[in-house]
Amino acid sequence: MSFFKRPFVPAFLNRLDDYLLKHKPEIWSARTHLVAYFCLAFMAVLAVLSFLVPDDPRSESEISIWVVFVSLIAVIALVFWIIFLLRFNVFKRYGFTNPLNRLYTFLLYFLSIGFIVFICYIPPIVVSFRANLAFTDTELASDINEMNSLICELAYDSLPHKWISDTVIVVNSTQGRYDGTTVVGEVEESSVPVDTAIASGEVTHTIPTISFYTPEHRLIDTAEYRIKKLSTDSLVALNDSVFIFSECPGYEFVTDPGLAEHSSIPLLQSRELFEKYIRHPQHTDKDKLITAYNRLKAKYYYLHRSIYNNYNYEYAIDETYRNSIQFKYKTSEISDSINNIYDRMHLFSSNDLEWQIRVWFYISLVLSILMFNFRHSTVKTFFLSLLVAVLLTVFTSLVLAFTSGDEDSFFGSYIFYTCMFAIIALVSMKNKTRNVISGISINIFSWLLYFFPLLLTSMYYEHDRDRFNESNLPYESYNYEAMQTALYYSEIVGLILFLIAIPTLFHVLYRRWYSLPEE
Amino acid sequence: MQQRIEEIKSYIEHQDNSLAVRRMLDLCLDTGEETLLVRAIDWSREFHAFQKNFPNDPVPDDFRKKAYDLLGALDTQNGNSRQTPQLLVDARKVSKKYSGSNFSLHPISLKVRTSDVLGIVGENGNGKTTLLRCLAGQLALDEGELEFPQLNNPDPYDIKHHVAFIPQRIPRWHGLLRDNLHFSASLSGITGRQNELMVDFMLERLNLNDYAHLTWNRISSGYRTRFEIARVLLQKPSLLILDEPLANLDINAQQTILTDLRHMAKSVYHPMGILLSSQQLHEVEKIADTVLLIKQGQCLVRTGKDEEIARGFVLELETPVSREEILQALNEYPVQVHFNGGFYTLMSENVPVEDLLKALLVANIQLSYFRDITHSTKRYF
Repeated sequence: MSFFKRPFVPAFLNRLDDYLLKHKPEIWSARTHLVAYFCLAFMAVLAVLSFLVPDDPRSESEISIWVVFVSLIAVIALVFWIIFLLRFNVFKRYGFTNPLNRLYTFLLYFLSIGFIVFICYIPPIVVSFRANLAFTDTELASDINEMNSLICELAYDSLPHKWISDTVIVVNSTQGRYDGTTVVGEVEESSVPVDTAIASGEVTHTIPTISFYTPEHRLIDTAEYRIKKLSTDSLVALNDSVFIFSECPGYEFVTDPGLAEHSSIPLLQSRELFEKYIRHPQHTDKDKLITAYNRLKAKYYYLHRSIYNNYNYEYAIDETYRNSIQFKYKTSEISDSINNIYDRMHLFSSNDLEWQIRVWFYISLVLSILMFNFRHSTVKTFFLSLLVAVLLTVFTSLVLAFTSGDEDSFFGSYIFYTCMFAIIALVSMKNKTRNVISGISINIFSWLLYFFPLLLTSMYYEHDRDRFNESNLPYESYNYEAMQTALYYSEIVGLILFLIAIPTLFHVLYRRWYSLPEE
Repeated sequence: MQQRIEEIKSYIEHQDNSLAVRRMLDLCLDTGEETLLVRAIDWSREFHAFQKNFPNDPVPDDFRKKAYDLLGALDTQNGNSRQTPQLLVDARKVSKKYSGSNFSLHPISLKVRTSDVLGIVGENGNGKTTLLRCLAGQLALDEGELEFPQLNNPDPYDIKHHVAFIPQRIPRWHGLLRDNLHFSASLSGITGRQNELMVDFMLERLNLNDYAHLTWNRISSGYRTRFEIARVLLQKPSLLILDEPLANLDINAQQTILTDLRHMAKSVYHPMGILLSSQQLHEVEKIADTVLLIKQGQCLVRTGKDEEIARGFVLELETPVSREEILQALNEYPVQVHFNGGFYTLMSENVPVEDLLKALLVANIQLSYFRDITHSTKRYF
């Protein structure tokens, strides 16, 4: 009979549903098999739809609208699933159950919610896939280099050929001033070894004429010196304290800030373009250059929709060479197109992917834990637990605000709450009647247990960083990588701890608490 | 076994087919033979289909023939013997007081064994539901002890699995009724083929097959009670507690359910104890081994074979004549006559009810209703 009750479900799934109903009631009542089927079917439809929707990868992505729209559908799907989930509950019917069933049901909730949440990822995945089909990183890098080279050649006469220099005096503190002969006031002259400064700077070109040394020279401290040294195109040390920083004019008209990380072809820097096309100009047929540039322009040029277009707004063109190049060769629009293509291609790459997974994982985990609580406590206790959690957070925030508490106090508060709710939950094993406070404690303890190792690690590293700051060591020398690794392991330990606690601790606590008589 | 077979034959002979079908199903279940149970279920289905299509026709010979074939097969079975009754719950001086309320349940002791049916009667608001909820482990006791000898060091979850409680207001079911039954059976460990068989059995046994494909909203409150009983029975509880199960049933359904409950309590396959509360004193008294009358939280009277013997004779009757005419007809006997606006209650220390009735008939008193309530809790109302 059950084969006909869901017309959109294939026969094998109806048979599976029937089998689970009569053999594995806990798995059946979680409805994960149906959630998986409907989610996969919907994902397939959504993927096809996302493929069919006209979408130019050069345009600004409207994926956020899609994500919001699909998220709403996912919320509806979640509500729909919860309605079905709440219909049958082996635990609340006092059926035969064992501790591992608690773990299986939690994992099934996680899987179901995971499927539903994953629906929101389908449009971005398709968008990224489409962009990756149309372009490659190497192709983009190669085209950017070609376009910048072509512009340098085509607009040779309009481009600046001189580097911009900045002579600075490095001091330990910038509170003083330079009076033309000596540095006076509270300033202490710094001693930066000339050899070190030149050796560590990326000196590739020096301006041949340095004929000025005036009171207008800027004073910079050693911190600024170090930062400046990292990004300069050229550095000349006149003595232990006086340096000339030189910057090559910008020749990167078409660019993408993230592409260098992924492309196998390096993007040509201004310095390299200068060496190749400005310092040693090549005399090529201009028509050929224009044709080559127009071909690339046609490939990437896309009239981006902007609010300004509607008002026939035109950018104010000033006389700087960048603006005239931008206006003439449409480099801004081309850069925007390439940025859009790049953004689409790398929606799920490296760091982004890790965060995307984290978002999926934490949404699924938190909702699964809430669902697990709801299925094992009374409606009243569940919602009171939420209320208590919110009030406790507000209370903690207020206390921290009034006592100027730092992160340490925040982590300490939540470690204290975890211990407090754990003790109340454990003490409830001796209760003779079911009371709300015990139920709330068990619920909140289950919410905090996963985060407990994370809180402890965070608190440890907070102390560690405080000690480090007191030692006056350079900021960069702190081992942030070790901290990140420790936090990462804390997340894993938290998850393992929580999963172990489900059949061992929470099974026992909920079993006893829920079945106790009322007052 | 033989006695039960003869009983079924008699029902068939006298065209009490519905009763015959129910007894046949019970008997086949008690044998523990799957093939016999399947045959009985098929036979029951045929009967119900025929009854639905031709309500006024006598059953065809083929139906009778199949019944006799089945009875012949049952005759060859040895049949499982009924086990000695086991004590299921021993409640000692349980009492309960609600905070913020004047009502309190005074200490009450009772024992329920397998195959026992214990009825709890009393007016509204006198503590019947409180007592049942205490026994079901839903309410904490203020004083007294509750022991479940069949359970070894039980935790509250075990107790609630052991004891099934059907409240007066049955919580709504979701989904198809049949799915709910399958689910209830499987959560109690009845899985696979056995699950299908037991659900089919229960649907036939309570004559619910025509409604199994429906949802909760599409059945009447009477059928809801019957489905809830079917669901709970599939969970195979040792002790079944029902709070006012007759409230939503018509008079025929009340009789059927009560006799069914009695037979299920005494089942060989799964004997259990039943506790039920009701306002229907006479119906409950007919099937209960013991009846407790609760008034203002106290157990006023306890009927049953081990309990006190009633003193005096009490007759309840309804008649259009006046009290004076009744007294005149009974002027030879020392009788007290009370009138509650509907019924007259005649009470006498030493005149048997039969004699009182004879005197009334001799005096040509027209009687539209009478009942001997000497041994009924009704006399205490």
